Amino acid sequence: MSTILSVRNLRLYFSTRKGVVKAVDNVSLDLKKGETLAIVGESGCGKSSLARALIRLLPRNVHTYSGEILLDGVDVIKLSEEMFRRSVRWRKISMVFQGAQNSLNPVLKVGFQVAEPLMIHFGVSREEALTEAKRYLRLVGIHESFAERYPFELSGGMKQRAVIAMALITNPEIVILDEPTSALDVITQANIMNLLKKLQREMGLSYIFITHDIALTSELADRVAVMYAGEVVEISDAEEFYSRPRHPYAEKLMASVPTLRVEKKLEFIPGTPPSLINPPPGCRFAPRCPYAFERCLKESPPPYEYKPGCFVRCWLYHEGKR
Amino acid sequence: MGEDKVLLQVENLKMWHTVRRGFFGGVVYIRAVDGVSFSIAPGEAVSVVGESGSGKTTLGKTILRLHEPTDGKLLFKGRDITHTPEKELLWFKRETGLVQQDPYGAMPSFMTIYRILEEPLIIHKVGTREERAEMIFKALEEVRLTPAEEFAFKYPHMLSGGQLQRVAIARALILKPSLVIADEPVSMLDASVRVEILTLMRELQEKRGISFIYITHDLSTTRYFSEWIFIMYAGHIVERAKTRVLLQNPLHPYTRALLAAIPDPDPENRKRFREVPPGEPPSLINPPPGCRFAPRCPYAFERCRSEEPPEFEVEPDHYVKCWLYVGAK
Repeated sequence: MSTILSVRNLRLYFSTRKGVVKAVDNVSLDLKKGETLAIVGESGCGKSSLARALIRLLPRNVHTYSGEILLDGVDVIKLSEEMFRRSVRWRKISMVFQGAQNSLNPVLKVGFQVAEPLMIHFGVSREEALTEAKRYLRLVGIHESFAERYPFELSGGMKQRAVIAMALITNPEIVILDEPTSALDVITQANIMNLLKKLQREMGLSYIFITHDIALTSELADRVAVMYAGEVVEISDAEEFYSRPRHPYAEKLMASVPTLRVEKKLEFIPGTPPSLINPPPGCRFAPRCPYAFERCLKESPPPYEYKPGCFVRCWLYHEGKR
Repeated sequence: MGEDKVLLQVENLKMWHTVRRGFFGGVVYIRAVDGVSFSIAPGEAVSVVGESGSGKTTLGKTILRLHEPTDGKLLFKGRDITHTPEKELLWFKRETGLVQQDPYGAMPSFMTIYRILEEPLIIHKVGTREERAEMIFKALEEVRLTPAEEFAFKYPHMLSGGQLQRVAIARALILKPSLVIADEPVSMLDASVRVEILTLMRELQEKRGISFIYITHDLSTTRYFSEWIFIMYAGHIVERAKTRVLLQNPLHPYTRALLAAIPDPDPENRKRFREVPPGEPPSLINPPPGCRFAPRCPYAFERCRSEEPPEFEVEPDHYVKCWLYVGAK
């Protein structure tokens, strides 16, 4: 599979009254065509900021926005805002935002809202765009008559489907899914996961799937990236990750996931993540890590590539202790 | 559950919320809880599992008499509290505690943790000032907020979500209640903290022999924290059984769908589609006449659509509200 998106040393810092928040700090990752890369981490680890950095929808208080985002070999971070809007956002990369199903405009018909990106970004006529919208509604499993209805007439799951149709109508190659089912019930969630799988197969989409729910990542992920305190600490293939997470944080996080079908001893991680304003000098997980030694507290570990495309940022591996 | 060992008895409990509709104030009812019966023995932990809008929160609040039931009966320690006026319920409030989903919303932001914990003691006129102080510090130590002297004089916004939820637990337990209801106590917390809080609740529950109702949408945590599971759907309890039995041998088609929908971390998941019913729960204003799951149920037949099924005891301690089991016992 060819690499469709390549991120190198991406940084996104915010200025706040208390200081500079390093929300995304030196993140590098690759996305292959047709695959799903899941990004998993707890609240405040920077996973949503990473998504916003990729699609360049940034708040005003950006302090640093740097690194490389290579899309088809072009570093799109260098593009002007106007060029980025015209050639990348929605056209190449689109996004399903967290809780988006509740952000639909209540006074506009669903079909019009799904059609809107086409009219705005491609200058397609209203009539043509509405025809396309109906086609995409059918594709996500909504009867096209719902194009003439208002959001309040749709159930939560249907609204989420409409939001997915909206993200797909501009025919992007990459779709960022930021907690796409977080406010939905488990059965509806399973239905949406089925839909996302079907769409990926039919349209050859590449997904970046952001969530805090490890069990849920396994519904889509071909590879998993684990974020902690603004950094990606591990990227592994799904085949191995769920049975053998490499980074101590990933290992402990997995041990805290309750399972329905098998009984296991649940663990938790004592302590809290560090401040992103003044992260600790060494490994950011070291203060909570049961395996930490001298070096972990002083020096930040570089990525250790344990096999091509998969790495872990941990001194245990560099020093051959694992 | 023997008759002699019942702490809480709920009989055909109904709680309908009234909503006004339209210009002329026509009233309609939302049947949030619509005919629910069960009992809980002292020291037992029960999980009430349901999706949003299934009526699980309303059930919890009605049991604590934060709502007055529309119909049915509530018996606590053998005393009928269904319609007892608020001011005669002080004894009952002292016997019960509540832990809510959002700890920040549940705590007055202008009070210190000490004041928050002292409040119920003052209301129920417990102890002298010195005795109360001792109880408060002890309560904080029990939920492992140590050093207690340090936490006691902080304000809610100075604590993390997990720490604040411990304060909420300490507050719910400080009057030594015999029944505690925890409504989604960990759904706002991170995965690594969830287990910590649930383990703590379970420990205190077992140590003190408290009856516990754990209300959640997350079936996968119930295995670890309760002896019973009640499954709610659209205002009804559709299945109830011992935790292990229910997870190993789910009988109600809705329970089966729920179990099928929940993923465990497994790379095989991405290669297959989940078999789950389409659609979403019915409106609680005009619920379907028969079984409420019938419109989505793959096994539904004629009778399911016209007649509401009663609860069948399929095996000891395993109850199902479904016509498929009409022959059983």
